[in-house]
Amino acid sequence: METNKNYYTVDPLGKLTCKKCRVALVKGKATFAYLDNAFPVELPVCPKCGFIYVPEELALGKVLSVEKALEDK
Amino acid sequence: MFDNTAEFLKQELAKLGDPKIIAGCPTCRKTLGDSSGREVAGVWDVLNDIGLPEGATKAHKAASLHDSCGARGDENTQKAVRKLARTLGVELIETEYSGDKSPCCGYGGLVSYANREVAHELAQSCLERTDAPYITYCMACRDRFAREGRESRHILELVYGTSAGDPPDISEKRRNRLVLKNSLLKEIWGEDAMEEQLDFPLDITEEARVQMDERMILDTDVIAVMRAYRETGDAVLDSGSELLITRHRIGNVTFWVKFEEQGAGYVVCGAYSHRMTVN
Repeated sequence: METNKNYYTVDPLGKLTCKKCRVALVKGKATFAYLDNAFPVELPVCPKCGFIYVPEELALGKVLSVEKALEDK
Repeated sequence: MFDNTAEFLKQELAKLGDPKIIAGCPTCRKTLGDSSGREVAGVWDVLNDIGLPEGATKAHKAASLHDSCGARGDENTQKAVRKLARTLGVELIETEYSGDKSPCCGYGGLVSYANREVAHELAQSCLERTDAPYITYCMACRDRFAREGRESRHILELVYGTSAGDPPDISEKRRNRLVLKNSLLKEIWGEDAMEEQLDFPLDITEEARVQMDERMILDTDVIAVMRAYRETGDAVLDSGSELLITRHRIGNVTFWVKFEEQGAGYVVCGAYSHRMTVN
């Protein structure tokens, strides 16, 4: 059995809309990558054009601390 | 890279007929002196020689002189600046940790950018020596002390009876350097300035500016993101904040900008960034 670990998951709950496609963003799979490390996550994604949204709290929170940890190695 | 730059400077100075070099910063004075092998005077030495200009501040206040790290081991500079300060009428307060024992203001090594908390502690270690205002002869030190809320002046502000004002944010700092470069290019070399024109209205809220300075995002970064948005139209509307959010990768950083469309242009309300790529 395959275990799908997500380092982060957020459900847009219909609050985010893609401006170009005019559709609501949905929870989709994405991969964060930095310095030869990759992290599977679930982020709001536009089902039409594939725009992936990175929320501010995530960018300044978990993403920043992981970046720092990898840089300090 | 240092050797290449030193060589370049040497050649350019030779073209100018090897003039006398006057440095406005003790670190520059030392570095230029070492790399060029020539005598470099500090602007304080020159002022001690030629005297104060008209309009120099007649200071009657007590102040402490903060010795910059660039003057460590440079007794001549440390003495010359004290002489200049006394000529201005400053009543100098000497503390135990001065001269070669002077602590770091938190700018050197770009600590103030790499680790704000440590830079704050370093500046405090300077300021706790006395409650008096500080006079510095390095603009970085003066900037650091002002950011900590302590009254500080660069000695040249007193010499020329002028004030450098409040510390600028990172975008203003960059813009000031650009303004200086462009005016020197025009006035001395008669060359036209390289100005980037903005072809759409762009407003950045005060809140966004403060945020950008804290997060080290330049206004030129934000402009690049908005230019990219005008080409791609890629953005997300957040019904909670009613803001549009777009992003653009520049180098190894992805910048996100939160904005509103207003007329033919935009109002930027916030910005953040990260280095991770996301696919």
